[in-house]
Amino acid sequence: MFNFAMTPLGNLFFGLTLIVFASLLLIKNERRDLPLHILLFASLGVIFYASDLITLFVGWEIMSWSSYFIIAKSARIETLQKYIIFNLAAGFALLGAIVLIVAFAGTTLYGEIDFGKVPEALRVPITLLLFVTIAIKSGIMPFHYWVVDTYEESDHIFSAILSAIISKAGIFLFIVIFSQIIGYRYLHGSLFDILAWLGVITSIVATFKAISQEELKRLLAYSSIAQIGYIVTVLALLEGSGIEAGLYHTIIHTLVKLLLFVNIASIIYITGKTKFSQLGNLLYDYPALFILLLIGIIALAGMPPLGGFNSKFLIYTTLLEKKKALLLVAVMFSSASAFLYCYKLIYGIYLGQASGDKEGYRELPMSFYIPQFIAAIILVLLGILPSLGIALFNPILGSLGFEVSSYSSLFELHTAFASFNGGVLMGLFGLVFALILLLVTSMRSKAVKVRDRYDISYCGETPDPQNNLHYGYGMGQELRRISFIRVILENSTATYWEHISKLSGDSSVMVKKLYSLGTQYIGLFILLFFTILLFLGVR
Amino acid sequence: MFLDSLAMIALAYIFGFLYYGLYRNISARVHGRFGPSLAQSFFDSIKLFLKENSTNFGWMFYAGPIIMMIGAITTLLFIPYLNGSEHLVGLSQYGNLILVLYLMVLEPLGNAMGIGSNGNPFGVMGITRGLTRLIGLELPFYIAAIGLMIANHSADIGVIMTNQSEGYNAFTHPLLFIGAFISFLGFMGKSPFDVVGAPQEVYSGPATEFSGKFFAIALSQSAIFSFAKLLLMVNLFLGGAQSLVELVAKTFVLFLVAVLVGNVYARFTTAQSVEFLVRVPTGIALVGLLFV
Repeated sequence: MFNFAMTPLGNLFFGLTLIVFASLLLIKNERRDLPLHILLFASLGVIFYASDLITLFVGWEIMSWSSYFIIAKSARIETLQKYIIFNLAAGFALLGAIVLIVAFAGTTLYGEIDFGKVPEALRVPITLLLFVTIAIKSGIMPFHYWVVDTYEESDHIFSAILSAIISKAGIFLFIVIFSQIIGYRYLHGSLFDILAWLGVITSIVATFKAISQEELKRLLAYSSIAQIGYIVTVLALLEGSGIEAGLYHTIIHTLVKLLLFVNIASIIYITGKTKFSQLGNLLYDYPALFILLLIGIIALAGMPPLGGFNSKFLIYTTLLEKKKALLLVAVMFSSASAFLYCYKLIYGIYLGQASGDKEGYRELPMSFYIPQFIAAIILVLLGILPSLGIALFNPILGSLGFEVSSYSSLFELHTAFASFNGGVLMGLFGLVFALILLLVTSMRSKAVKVRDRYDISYCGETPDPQNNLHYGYGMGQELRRISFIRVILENSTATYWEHISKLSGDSSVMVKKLYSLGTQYIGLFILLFFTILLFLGVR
Repeated sequence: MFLDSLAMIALAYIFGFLYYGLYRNISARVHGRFGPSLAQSFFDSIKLFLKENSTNFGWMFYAGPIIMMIGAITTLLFIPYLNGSEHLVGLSQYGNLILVLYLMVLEPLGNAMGIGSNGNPFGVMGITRGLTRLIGLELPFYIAAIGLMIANHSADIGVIMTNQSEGYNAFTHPLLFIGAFISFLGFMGKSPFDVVGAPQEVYSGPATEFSGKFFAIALSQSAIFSFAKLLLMVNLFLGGAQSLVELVAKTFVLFLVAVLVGNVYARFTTAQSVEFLVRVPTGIALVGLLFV
């Protein structure tokens, strides 16, 4: 009944799942429901290793439902409703596409499906249904409506799973269904051009939304949406090199979001606070957490010398090769704007002035550090050995029938447009850092340690505790003065979805009215029904 | 390779401070003053380096200028000085234009980390302005860079530089050059895009709390970084240079234009500069990109 196969692609995604689940399960969390987590883990295994469409769908549904029950423990009812309605829609869309494919291809097995048997007229609707499924699961606009609230209100550790792994199920589905099952030659390029633009618009809008958030987890949720926008954009080019870049960014994003969400969870565990305006100046209390977050945001921003740069580099060069200049401009614009929310994240929590006192802070168990360390070490390793990722993806590209990239050494990441050497880069960073440090520390300094945090230059006045000196609160607000950003920040898809919700509510009231009419009307309807039947029969 | 890199850094340090001295002199003449001696900034940086720090806000405060210096030096070492020469190439064979564009962001980020850790709200105000301005600043420059990369089918700075033997990119792709040049004015911290360090509005700018040798590092990296940016513009748009003399001449012309423009225009607010940068130079560069 159920068919499974070990594929290189499945191995990669399941490997990532294993890293995330195993490291997160080490964290002691009394609110965790272990059976549901195991069910979710198993369902992801089913999705990644399925070799027929029905198995894939069953895994997909179990994944959606098991995460529903996990989220239900802490989320508000409205959030849950949003989550389930959108994810049911994703499930139905997937089922519809599967039924249409199977009806014409005559089989559910991946290897035996011949999409050429599906009539031309149905290919576009099937593609659109699959778009809806992928867009909902990965949070592509305008289907991202459920994402942010769900991430915010889930258990702090579970948010990491949602962002790191579950959002990648959509990416996995994209690669499996379009490149492996259907085949790129049957697809309409123009539809995918639209999807590529949707991806990049998603990332631009989500980036600016992220900057203006006041809650730690909402910022990360929008950042997740933005990052997955890049992946969808580059996959929608329908190229082997696009899959390579997309997979690289998938790995980086999984690790980065694992690190960042656990870091934020640690801060919330310690302080019990969830807003930028309540935090600040935790750097010297938790230096290890600070450095881990720094590694996370360097990779998130795609800065060299960490692994984050490799995936950005591949995305850019892939877009350059395809001469998608405008798309590339948009991606780079979004990427440049992302520095601001990366900085807000680290400044709001660790730097600046403390907001409020630090009483009642709990001690952080060591287990919170483990997932962060694992992610940070892999990110640094990928920075030194960028072609490690390519070595990992070559079997996948081979199994999907694409040309395999060649690389001369693991240190060098090579594309048709340019190449760079990660080992040299990291070495240079280390060397320059060491030299400057040596130069600076070789001279004795008697600098006075500032004891009082209010001992700063403050326009010739002395600030007192009444002055709010932490700027984390206002950061991003001044962006509203820039007209095009204001347009983005003041509009949201919420009004659009509320309109649809109102419309469906009104129509259900109308249907309900039919049932609440008297018996004589029901008799009339039955009579009418048979009259129509009779009429059709005569014709 | 090590000596080659050291020579690059030394040259950038000397020329950077020389140009800074010239900038102060030219601005003074525009204002009707005489200005300090040419080597004054150079002496300042050495003097400051020998002085002690007055305040200590913890290790992250010190790490800020060091990250900035790493940003300046790494950017410089991935840009070759001369066209077709084996000397003064640094590590440019191991990098490319995309890498350099990203390394250029390291400097504002290092600044942001250092300033952010000292707890002075005015410093962070400057940082936020800087990072917001960066949104607008990078867009035209990126578009120009993308245009050049597509036209040359390479992201290698050396290849883009040598491909200009028949005509400088500034003349073959004039719209891209104009867009990039307006961005470049901002990158050089010149008016009208210099609100980040504006001493009147943000009480002595982002560098409010630095002192002693860390202020010296911040100053030196700014000199090295300015020269790296001039070098990048020359390589991308003015065909690079065959000799050091030609390099100095070309960078000086660019620098002079930037200084004169900076002296003429009044300062934009952050919102104004982002809006201007996103409309005018971005529009010009986009049209240029369509021609490519």
